[in-house]
Amino acid sequence: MDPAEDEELMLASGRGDRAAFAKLVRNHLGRSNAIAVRMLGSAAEAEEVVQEAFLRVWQKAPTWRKDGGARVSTWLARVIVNLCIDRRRRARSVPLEEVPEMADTAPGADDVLALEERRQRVAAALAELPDRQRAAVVLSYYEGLSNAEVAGALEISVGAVESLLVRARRSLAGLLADLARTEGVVT
Amino acid sequence: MNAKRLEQILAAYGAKSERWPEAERPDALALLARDAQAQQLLRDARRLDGLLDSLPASEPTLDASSLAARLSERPQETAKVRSLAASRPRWRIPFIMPNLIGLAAAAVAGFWIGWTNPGTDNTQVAELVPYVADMNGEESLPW
Repeated sequence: MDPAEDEELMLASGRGDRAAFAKLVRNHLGRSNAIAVRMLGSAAEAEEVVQEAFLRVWQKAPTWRKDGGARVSTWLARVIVNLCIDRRRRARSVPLEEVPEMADTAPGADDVLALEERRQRVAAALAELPDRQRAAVVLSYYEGLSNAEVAGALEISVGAVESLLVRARRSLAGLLADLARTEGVVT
Repeated sequence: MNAKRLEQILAAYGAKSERWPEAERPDALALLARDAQAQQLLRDARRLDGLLDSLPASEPTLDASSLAARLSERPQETAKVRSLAASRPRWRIPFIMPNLIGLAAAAVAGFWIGWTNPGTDNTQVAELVPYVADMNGEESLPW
């Protein structure tokens, strides 16, 4: 994702350029969806959040100001995280049966079962984290955003990001301690 | 770089050194190379990374082009709409003020009339009596 291109696409979208908006959606759909799925633990709910987020992009575009502060990608990440947090506050439940599917790369049936169980445990552990800790892990660990970008998305100081990550990973380590012990290094 | 800082880095960013703060990376790697306790911390962080990595990223089921086409049929926020929305709270005060001023004026006028006319002239009441309908209908009105 190129921030300069994002800006141009956003400004063009603001002028009603539907092709520019379509390109903006194409560029950001994958990451937006990944953030929402990991935040919510549900692909179906994530889809609704992503649609709402891109509607806001379209509606916001005419009043978007170049050099107005946040990058498009950071602003979009903030919109998605906030929509996910709002949604979770409204319905405090994460349906584990909707943990996203992945291409089967395990060699045997037992391994597939074990892998699926492990995924569900990890998804459940993530879901147990407080909203901001979970968002920090999703944005930093899974999406590879810099601390400055995570800080922009969560509207916190850059210094606070690291301590948020430390608390999140320590909680995850505690919640998944038995798995880590029994399965050893899993890469 | 000391062991405490390295522990903090591993606890925040995990075992993959490319995720660590760039400025601290060389010192952190040097400490890891010579410190057995730091190596144990690295193994713990790697275990957690492995578990986190088992959670896959799902591919979006939405089609970007059709999503964009559908959403871009909706109206956009315009500067005019935005400025009106932003100014709404300021408009509320002038709308409330005339009501408050009217209420206060009515209260003052009522108080002043009551104060300056403490009693009612009985003759005026007597003049009004014939015009009031008799409850039993025995007396007709003058018209």
